[in-house]
Amino acid sequence: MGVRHIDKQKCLRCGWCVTICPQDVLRRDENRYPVITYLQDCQSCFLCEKYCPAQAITVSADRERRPILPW
Amino acid sequence: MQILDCDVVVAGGGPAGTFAAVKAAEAGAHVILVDKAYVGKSGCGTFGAGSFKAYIKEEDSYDLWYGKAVEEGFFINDQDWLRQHFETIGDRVRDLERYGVVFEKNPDGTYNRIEGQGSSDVRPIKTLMFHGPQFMEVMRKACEKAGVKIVDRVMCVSLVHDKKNPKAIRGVLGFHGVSGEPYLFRAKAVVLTTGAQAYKSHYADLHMVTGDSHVMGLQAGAALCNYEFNCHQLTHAGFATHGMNISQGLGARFVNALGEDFTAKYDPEYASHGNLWRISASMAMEVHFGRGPLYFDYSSYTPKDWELFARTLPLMFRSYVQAGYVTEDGVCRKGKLEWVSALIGNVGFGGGLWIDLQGRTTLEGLYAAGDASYGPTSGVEGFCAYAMPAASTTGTVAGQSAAAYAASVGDVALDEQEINAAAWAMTEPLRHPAGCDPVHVVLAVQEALFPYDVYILRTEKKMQQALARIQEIKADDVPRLRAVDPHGLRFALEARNMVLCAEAMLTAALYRKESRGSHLRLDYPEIDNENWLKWIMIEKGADNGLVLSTRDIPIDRYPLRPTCRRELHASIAAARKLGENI
Repeated sequence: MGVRHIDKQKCLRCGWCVTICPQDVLRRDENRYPVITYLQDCQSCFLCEKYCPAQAITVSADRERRPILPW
Repeated sequence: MQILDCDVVVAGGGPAGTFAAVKAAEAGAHVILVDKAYVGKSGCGTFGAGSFKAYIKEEDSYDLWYGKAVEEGFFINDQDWLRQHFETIGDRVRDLERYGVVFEKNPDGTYNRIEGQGSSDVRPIKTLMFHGPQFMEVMRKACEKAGVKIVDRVMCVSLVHDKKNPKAIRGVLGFHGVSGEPYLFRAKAVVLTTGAQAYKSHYADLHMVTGDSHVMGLQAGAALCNYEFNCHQLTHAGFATHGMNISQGLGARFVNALGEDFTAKYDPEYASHGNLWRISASMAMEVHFGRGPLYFDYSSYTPKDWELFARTLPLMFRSYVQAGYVTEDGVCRKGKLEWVSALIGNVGFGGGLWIDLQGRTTLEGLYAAGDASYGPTSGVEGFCAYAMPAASTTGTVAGQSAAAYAASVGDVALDEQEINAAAWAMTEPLRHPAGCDPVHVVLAVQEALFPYDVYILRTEKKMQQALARIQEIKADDVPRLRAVDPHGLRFALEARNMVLCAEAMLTAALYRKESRGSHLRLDYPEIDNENWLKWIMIEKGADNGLVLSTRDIPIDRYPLRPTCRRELHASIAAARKLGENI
């Protein structure tokens, strides 16, 4: 699950996705591009995708690991 | 170490925290608002599904709303607080409009309101509608306009006491999640508003609320209350979903493995429109009686239904298209989706820090509001979509009280030894980078807490087993939690907070020897108004343990009182009526 891909061709390097991520999943690299740094903590909330001014980010709700369920 | 001075520091920038900060600043205090993420995009309020259940004096029946709140609260509400809430919520709605929050309106200027979960034809409870993400953006701007200093990306970890008065709180210690630098906020009053403990559950958008205020308060000597009561959500087993109100409204049904629609059997008045925990209890019963797995069935949806679904729940629709359940143009490929209950801790209602009518906790100088508080207006349950209105009224009171109190406090004197010890303890996980992975601790807590016979159909035996496991994790794994950088330190401390809150929840649930609302015990199936019209208080004891006590609810002087001394819990009564052996 989680943020899957950031398209460098489209990215404006504004850094807004890094600023707003509630889970601190994204950080900036030496060229100020956002990079997916802590994927294990992404909760697929879609904020980065929704607020990206260049539609450069793709998020998925699908999970690779089955969550712990009540039954 | 960064040291910042102010009159009032507010920890947590959701609806309760931003209200507290604005109101304290408007009262003349110098205010700092701290959040471990970014105020305006952090906390559950950011993901509010647009529903704001506010009582509007000009349109609603006070008796209906008050009665419904006490009914859902199972007489555990602080009814003085409930009255204060209903008397002030209209002012808060006007505040929100003044700040710039847009509510849906009719052409004649009145509010456009809809009926949500827990509303029936006989007793309609209507909710206001707002545009989800805009709400918190507006609240950040309101804070800035009021002169509040906002500090983003700093996680608050522990409270600091007055050097001369160990019962008074005079500050908060935390660290920056990127730089790792410690931050000390020296203040005359502290307001805790970091929200609930959601156990990083299998539900959408609440992995960041990890009981930070509850643990800070408890460890500093404040009392928690109502910690045995929890909110349950309903979601797809495959991935986390939301939008149950709309999905049910468009005609999707809950069915068991035999294809039977089962909700009306247990709850004839509301059936599939019932409150979440009632459906959660019905689902657990069906599984318990061997009729699982369970499904939520969208098969009846027409392309027109899917079109409306896509418009109102675009992210959900996107997930369903991604998963191949429906095509972009609304052709259903897989309608019957496996569906489960999810424990989401005390999000929306349920336990937290005890507060009085002024928002004061049991410690001097320490205030709490919203989900960080024990939800005095909610009792056992709240109305659905009631959390943000309650955060507005409790946040306002806590902010105003904290500002008034701060004005009476002289110079702040702190104990350097206490601060050094707290700073050392806070960074403990960074000192054993080869220790226990926080992800392991999160999964271990979830494995102990999430089985349905621990949190839905409760028994002494199962809860004791779960508590023993949680205490084992606390003793063996928590001291070895690892972090390799400041980001990791946040997640290590969040995992620790999950363990401590799980211990408090199970301890309180074992203590309450009756059933009441979502606290449904198979070994004590009756609501016992003779012995249990009480609040359970939890305080820190010796050796890192917990001390429990009770406070009698002053029911005799409240307007609404239960009519019977004991009665069988409605879900169990319904199951027995169906001939089930439970």
